[in-house]
Amino acid sequence: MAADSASEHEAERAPDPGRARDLARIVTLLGTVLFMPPVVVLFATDTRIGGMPLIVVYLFGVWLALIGVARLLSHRLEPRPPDASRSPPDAGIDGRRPR
Amino acid sequence: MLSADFVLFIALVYVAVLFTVAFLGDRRARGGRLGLLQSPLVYTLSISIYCTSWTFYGAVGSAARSGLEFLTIYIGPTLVFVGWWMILRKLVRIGHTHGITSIADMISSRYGKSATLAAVVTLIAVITTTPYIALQLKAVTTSFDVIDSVSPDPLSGLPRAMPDYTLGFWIAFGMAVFAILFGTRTIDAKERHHGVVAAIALEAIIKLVALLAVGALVVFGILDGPGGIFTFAPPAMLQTPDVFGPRWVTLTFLAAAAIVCLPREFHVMVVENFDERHLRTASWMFPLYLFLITLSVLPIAIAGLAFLPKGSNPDMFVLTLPMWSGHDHLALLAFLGGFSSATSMVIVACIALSTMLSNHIVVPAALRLGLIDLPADGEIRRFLLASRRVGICLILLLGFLYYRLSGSGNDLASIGLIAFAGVVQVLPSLVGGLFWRRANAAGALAGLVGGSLLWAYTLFLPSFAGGFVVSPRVIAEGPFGFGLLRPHALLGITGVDPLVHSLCWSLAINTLLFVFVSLAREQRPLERLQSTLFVDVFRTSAEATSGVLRRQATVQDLRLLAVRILGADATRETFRDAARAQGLRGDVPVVDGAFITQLERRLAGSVGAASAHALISQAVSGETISQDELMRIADETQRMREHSRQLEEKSRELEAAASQLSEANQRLTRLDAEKDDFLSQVSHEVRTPMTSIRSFAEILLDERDLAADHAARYLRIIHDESVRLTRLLESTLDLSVLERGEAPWQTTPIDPEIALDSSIRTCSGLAASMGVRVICGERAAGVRVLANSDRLAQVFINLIANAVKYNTSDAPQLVITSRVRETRYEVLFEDNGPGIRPDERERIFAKFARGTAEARRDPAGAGLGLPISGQIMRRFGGSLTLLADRGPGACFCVALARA
Repeated sequence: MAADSASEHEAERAPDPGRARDLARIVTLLGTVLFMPPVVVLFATDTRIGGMPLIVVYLFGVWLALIGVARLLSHRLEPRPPDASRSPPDAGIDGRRPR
Repeated sequence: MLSADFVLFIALVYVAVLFTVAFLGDRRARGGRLGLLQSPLVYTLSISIYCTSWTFYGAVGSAARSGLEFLTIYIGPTLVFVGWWMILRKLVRIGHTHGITSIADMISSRYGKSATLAAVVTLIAVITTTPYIALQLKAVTTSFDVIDSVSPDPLSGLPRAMPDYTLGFWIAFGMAVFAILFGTRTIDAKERHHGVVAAIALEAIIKLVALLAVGALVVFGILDGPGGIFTFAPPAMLQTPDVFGPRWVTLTFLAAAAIVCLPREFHVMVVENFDERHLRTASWMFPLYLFLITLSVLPIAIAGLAFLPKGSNPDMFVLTLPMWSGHDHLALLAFLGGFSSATSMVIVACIALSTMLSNHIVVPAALRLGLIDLPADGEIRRFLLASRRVGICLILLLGFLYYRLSGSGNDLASIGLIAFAGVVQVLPSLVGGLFWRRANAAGALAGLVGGSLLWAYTLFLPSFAGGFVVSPRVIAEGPFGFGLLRPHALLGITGVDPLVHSLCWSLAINTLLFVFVSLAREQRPLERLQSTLFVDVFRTSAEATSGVLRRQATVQDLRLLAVRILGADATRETFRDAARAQGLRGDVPVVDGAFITQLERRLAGSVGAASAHALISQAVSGETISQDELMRIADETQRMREHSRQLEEKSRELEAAASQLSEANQRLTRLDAEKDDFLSQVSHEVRTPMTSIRSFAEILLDERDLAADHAARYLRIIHDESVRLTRLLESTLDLSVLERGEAPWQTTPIDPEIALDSSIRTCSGLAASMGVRVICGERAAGVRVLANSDRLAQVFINLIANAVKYNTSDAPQLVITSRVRETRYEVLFEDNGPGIRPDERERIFAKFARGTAEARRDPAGAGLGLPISGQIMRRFGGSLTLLADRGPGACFCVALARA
């Protein structure tokens, strides 16, 4: 649970979750566009970078960048809306509590 | 070379380790020491059961056959996880709020707890998972054959013509034992299977490490570093832009949909999720896991193609490459990695499917047949556990049979894709149900059945290559020789990849049926309630619903029911907690709508929403859904939206009103200034004649002995000035009447030429006295306009008089022409006088304005003629304008619309 409380703390000082939410949507859309034709076809050439084909470098590069951005954004997105932090509905009965 | 006994021994040791880990994990969890078991890391690792032996062996095979295409299977889920905020978060929240036990339960619960839907989704899940499990069995059996060198040519990696099915059977048996031991301990889906989770987390690490190790061996042991790999790649492998065609898009979409729809993924992501915040970590960590696991695929595929004998099975490169290079221990690790990826998937899939089978098929059937209504303690509970255990065995048996029947035909990747295409038939109902209020059970059922049948006909049945139901003849020529219905070319659409063809058809029909049947049918009240709860899960609190469902029951009946499902201990605990929450002392809660809803949700965690609803319905009486309450909840969001829309509209209206006001204010200010101007000009104009009248009157009063002729002259001046004054005041009145637009004039169709002629005649005397020649140019004839002839003549006379009086030319003349232009009648007054300076063109139509030339010649002019004429013309709907650049003099144009 230690890791969780730390991340919760980060969420509290997050400047603007609304902006992060919009960013998360746009990044997903952008990632989709970058992986799909026609954009991806632009990189399917014979060019090589350090012995590796450009298309391989491109695909793995975009992928890694997406992961990085997702990581940055994950800290800024609220885990749950503020009002849900009060007593969760029917907490006593639903058996979710650790026994 | 490794001996078969040694490999078997190692495999058994590994299995023993897995059992131990699961056992320890369970014991730790029961002791309340969850620690790492409850961390986001373990959650992410458990999601990685997405990477089955299809990934472990099949991705390399796919890369060797079709280059970069294998990446789509990992890019799709990456995009879904990066966009977790949109869909996954909602799924997990609903799963928590409503105690969802499986994907079938999710869909049934969303569409009014429909038992039929739950059964249909369960059937789809079983049918699509069977080939998937067969694939795992096949991969493990083949890998075992390859590594223990039983087959004559192990390096080729080809499965034996007669595979050792006993081995496959025992592997299936072992998995069943594991799943039963650790997956069916409790019936409440929310009491997580910590032992299983611990084991699959360990397996996730093993498969990643194994694949990375083989990758490292290839890159650094066999080849010289990452740069050199691609020199060995066959030219066709990576340089084909046609990889990025429809199939690329389809596969990415398929994988993205599958990560949400696969029953086992749904189970680990939603059902086994402990904390919504874990999803946040998984949003980047799971894509990272996928990234790392695919890193080795290309090097292994390239090295396998380059160094292993021609015709080797690319699906086994991961295993045969280390064997070829003499690294037997690494081959053993790879074998364990493949074994891990297969077993973890099979175990979770079995648990998820057996839960669905027991909750949505066995229990409803048993309830209907009256097999379970003995009021014994925990009777349904035992029944459920038994049915789940049998379910696990059944599913594995089905998988084994499929493997046995399909033999060694298809490669790993294509079997996996067929299963994916089947399972995504759930997508429209699932995602549509999350975001679209009107979606209802009839639509979901129609979509699911239609899509699945099409999938089966166009992809699943033909995949047996004519061995099952659909014969090769039907595949080639269509049923009964009906070519339009060929499974791979429906309605004559040919030249498309069978997978793309099948997916487009089945999903399109699925979605269309879903949407249109939903629109055609009304929702039942319970469907409407559930749809609101699901779509607005972030806005509607669970308490808000308690008033909607009105039902009565006795505590005894409810307790009896709960004991049958939950067992005596859990029931006592549940009832005591509820009583405490109500502020009561004992352990007998007050049975109200809220308590029954809570209890139903608790039971749903064990038997699924549909069965729980059916069971509770047996115990309660008079179940009604309060329409008013339902409307209240359903419309709450709607109302809020409406409210904000109204606010927006109001603020827009206010803004418009404010801008109108400020405009009006500006106009008033301008008018006020004009009025001041006008007044000062009028008083100025009045003062001049008044001054002279007064001074001459004073002279006449003071000087008694004034000569008669002088006196007469002074009186004449006084008279003249009074006349001028009267004229001025009359004009002013005239103008103000015109400007206020009072007293409507009688306008009749008249001939304007008659008014013009009479005006010219009236002015002829003045013109003659001033020596101005008035020339009549071309004249229009037979024109009728709507006007008042006196007023029109007033305008003409004013213009002629101006032209005559202010013409300073040596041979002054005025040319009057009239013409008809389209629908307009125009009269031009053109003189050869000094003209009007460009900077004065605007000003001469203003009151009291006079041209510079006029002012010099005739100080008596009041400067009201043109404004009055302009007003008159405007009242007639015509215009009076000064035409620019027409010769030296001025040219005025009077224009009127023809009647």
